[in-house]
Amino acid sequence: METWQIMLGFQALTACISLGVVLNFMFSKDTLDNEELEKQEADKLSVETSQHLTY
Amino acid sequence: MSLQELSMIFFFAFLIFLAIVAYLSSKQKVAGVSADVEYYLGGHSTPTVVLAFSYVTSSISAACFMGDPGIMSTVGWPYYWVVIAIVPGLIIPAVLLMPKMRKQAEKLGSLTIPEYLGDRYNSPALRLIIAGVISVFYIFPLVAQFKGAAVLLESFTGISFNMGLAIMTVVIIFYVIVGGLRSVAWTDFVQGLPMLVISIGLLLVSLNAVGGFSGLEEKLSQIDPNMLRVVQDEAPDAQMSLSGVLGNFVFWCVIFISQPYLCSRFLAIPNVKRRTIGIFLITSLILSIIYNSFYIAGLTGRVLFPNVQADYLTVTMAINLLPTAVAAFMMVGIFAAMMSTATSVLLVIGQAIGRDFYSKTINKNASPEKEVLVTRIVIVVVGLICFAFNYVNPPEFLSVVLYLGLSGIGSCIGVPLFAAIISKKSTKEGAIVSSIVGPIAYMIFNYGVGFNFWFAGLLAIVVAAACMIGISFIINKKRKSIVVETAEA
Repeated sequence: METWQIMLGFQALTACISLGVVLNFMFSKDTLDNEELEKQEADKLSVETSQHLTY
Repeated sequence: MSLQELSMIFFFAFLIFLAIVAYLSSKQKVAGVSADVEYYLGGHSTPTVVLAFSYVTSSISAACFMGDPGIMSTVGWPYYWVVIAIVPGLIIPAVLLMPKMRKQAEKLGSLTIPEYLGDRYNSPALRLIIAGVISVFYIFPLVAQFKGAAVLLESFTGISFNMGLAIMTVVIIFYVIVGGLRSVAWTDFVQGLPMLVISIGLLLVSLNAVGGFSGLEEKLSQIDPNMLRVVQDEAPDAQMSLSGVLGNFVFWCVIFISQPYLCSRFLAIPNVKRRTIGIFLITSLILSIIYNSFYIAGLTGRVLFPNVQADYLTVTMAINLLPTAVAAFMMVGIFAAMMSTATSVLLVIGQAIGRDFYSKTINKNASPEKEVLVTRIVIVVVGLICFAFNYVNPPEFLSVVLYLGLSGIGSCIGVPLFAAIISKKSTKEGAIVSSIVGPIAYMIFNYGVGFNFWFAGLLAIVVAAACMIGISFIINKKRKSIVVETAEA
């Protein structure tokens, strides 16, 4: 196998993987809701509360 | 008509066209959107495809058209690992970062990357550290783009270096201050088109001239069989040994995509729908494959013009292989590549000082209009500083200062940015330490220990990530025990 075939093959491979990841994201049935953010804020609040309790 | 005359005509016609685009785009303001959201994020109304063009064209500076094909011409196929890694590097992490960053930033009211990270970690100190690093380190790549553009103008149009520098300074400042991100994105979009034509055209013409890929392979083997290797042997001067290849993937997937002038596009997309993000990423994927395939021109150039200096190879190819008018058009394309990076970087520096330092720290009561005014003044001042640097003493080793800037910022922001998205347990203490340790570790590994550029970046990210994990673990454990003790009391 010639070098250009190997290198362009790798390029095609990484490009296909990237496309697959994007298409998987695009057509996923899960909704992009705010649950995680709300959870994060709740975590942050609990940390701040615990810090406040130490003073 | 001579090449010089045609280049001059094309160049000024291009500038006028861009000025019209910048002016018209700045007039498309969205009703009910504050001045800062409008200026920094284009009012969330810039079309997705235009933003994708801006994302990719900002990522490929003049290096893609001159510097990197030049390195390909000396290293050979092993350097193509850059292209193999850059495409997934721009796309796959974006799938993870884009929706979450956009949603969180909107919720937190963050308009810039330092502000987003500062708000996410609830740490004004982190915001100031990152804004400070941006303000200092981005000057290097900016100075490099200014010099590159002036050299290009001098060699094609005959305009003197200092005059070219002055033109570049005025033009860039104008495009950035006129309409902020919207103007930058639209001019990037318009600049992307000649770059696209050049990438495809010159590559096909030069490949045809060497007898296709098989002819290229045969001729390279006669020049230097090492150019046909897949990876280089480990050696102090090796660019793409196995460690370099690994580091190369980390560089594009973590360090490069963390550059605020790129990932700030994530905050500007119109909405967080899967379809919108998908269109952005698929457009970016196609563009980045086409643009970066141009690296192969470095190999065809080596065969066709073996005695030409690496950095001038693609320009020489254009002049000798393309019709005069098309070669002049190529000059416009390379100039456009420099401008798209320079305008994006200049806007990010302006934001860091105007919003993160001035409005969020020095004068917290500043109105959005005043904040944007300060940002515009900063943009003018920074543009003039870059002009002065090049006017007084143009730096010789541009690639060194360029990569110092990108790696310094990427190793500072990379870990806090990814940790903010991936882990809810990442703490502000971990983020602050990793943002300081990252750039220091990079400089030690690269300049002190002497690892190659790519591998030094990988190690810097590993060290910064270790700091983030270790410190966050200790802090969380400490907080947990305090909560338990308090509950028991």
